[in-house]
Amino acid sequence: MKRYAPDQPPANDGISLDIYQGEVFGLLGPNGAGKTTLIRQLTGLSRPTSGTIHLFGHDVVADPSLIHHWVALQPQGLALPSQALPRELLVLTGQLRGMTLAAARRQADELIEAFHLGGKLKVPFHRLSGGQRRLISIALALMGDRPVLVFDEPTNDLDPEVRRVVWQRIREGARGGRTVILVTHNVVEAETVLDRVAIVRRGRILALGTPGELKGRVAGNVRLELLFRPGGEEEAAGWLAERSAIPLGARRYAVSVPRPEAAATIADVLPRLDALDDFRIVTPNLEDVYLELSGGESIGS
Amino acid sequence: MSRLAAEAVTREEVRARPQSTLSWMQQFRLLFRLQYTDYRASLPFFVVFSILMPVGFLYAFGSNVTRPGADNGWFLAGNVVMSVCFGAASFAIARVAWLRIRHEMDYYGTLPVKRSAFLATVFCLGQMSALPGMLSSLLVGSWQLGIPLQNTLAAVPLALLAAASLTLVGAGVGGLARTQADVNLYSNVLYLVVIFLSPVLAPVERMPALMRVASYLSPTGQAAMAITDVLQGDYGPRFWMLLGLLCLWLLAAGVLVVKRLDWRN
Repeated sequence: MKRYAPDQPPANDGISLDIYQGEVFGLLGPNGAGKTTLIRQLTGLSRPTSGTIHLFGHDVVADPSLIHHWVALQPQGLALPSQALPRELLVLTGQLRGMTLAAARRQADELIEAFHLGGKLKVPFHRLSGGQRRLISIALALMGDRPVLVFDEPTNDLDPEVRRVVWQRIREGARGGRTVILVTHNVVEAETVLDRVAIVRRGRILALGTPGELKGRVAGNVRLELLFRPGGEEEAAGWLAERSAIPLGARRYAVSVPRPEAAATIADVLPRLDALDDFRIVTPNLEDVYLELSGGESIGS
Repeated sequence: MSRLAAEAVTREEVRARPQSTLSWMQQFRLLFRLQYTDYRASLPFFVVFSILMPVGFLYAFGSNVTRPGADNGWFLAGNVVMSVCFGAASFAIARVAWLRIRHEMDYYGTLPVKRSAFLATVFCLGQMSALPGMLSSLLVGSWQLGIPLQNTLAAVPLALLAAASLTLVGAGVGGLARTQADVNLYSNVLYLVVIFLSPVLAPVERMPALMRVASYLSPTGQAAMAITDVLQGDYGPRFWMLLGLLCLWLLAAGVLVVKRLDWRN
């Protein structure tokens, strides 16, 4: 449990889970769910108010200095020495994690090549684009081959091509026996990458299992996603209310219906196509699991 | 309760307790190089300005506020203290606040390094930022005001002690900052304390009674008076009392810094 102030509700509470060696474990939930607080506790940046954390059999709440020999973190923010050059940042981080200078240089060069950062070697960190800074931050976590790697929203700011490279490196890490803990609110990425996932809401774990197991909870439903044209949603307000539509964002709604009723509901939508910019039929994903478990709250909300 | 990579792993392979492969000095050296990168580009400008400021101050105001034939050590001591405050203490406030507000401390906090090694790098960078102004003040000021060289040289260790105390006080104050507005506020408070509550613009004997008392209570005032005593070759009871107080500030601020700058908050 973590409570930042006595008069505040706990940032997380009652969390009990095992994460196994070599798996890619995900924490999925909306902003403010307590995911980052949990990984700050796991990486020794935040001391739990109560409870214990064991890493390879050692109580790391009692001795947090042990964590940094095993765990590397790519934090959500991009705060690093702002005038450092990418290669020196990587090499010095590797050395601080106990690598020899030669080994640190070798791994830094390999990561720079893999992430296509070769053209940015003379550019200070603060002058890199957001995506390039994110890549440096991910590369820093990979330096020194720690057995536990923690990534907090690693693919924010990245274009699709670079995302693929990042996921490849993360999966390679897991295949090599490393444990990867991943924080995300991107359900598509979560389903393709994660071995197991914990769905987190308001500092508690709502569900824990493989993406397939969790999706099995809502396998009997399909989801209709509707994006209305301006003004269209007012015309359809009654229809949306009848079907307990869930707002997903500006003019965007989701309607979850049991499979046997899907055809009738779709037929009901077709006369309203003029009011819509987009209309999709989606098979259940982890977003639906979250919607179900949270009583209609979207991960993006 | 959370358990990370726990029983399934430990049953098969209980990992040995890791030992740091780097000595404290190696950690310090690498951390210093890392933090120094933030100042590398601006260092030449910083050195030039930190020399120009106190030397310019001595040149511009020296002939107005000092008296021919009188003991003018207080003016040089005040100038040294201002150099230290506007260099080391300001640096420490801004640096520590920056590390906390931007969460850059998280990066250092996840490295297998001792917090003392990290704090020592911040401290040394603060000291480094005080050196150019402090030394140039002492050398130029001694020459301009006709202070004996042996007194000037004797003041160097004391000026370094003052810089150490004020760097740690600055780091402790910086650790309290939560926003950029806090940093500005604390920096302005520091300037107020230096300029109005320390004998830097007038000798302590000529200050109003309230400010005279404040001078004896503030670390900047104590540093200014102790350096004045050394420049005048006066090692009386006041000097030893002030020296002791500066050492106490160093100790107290050191404890505060170690407590406040816990990256595992």
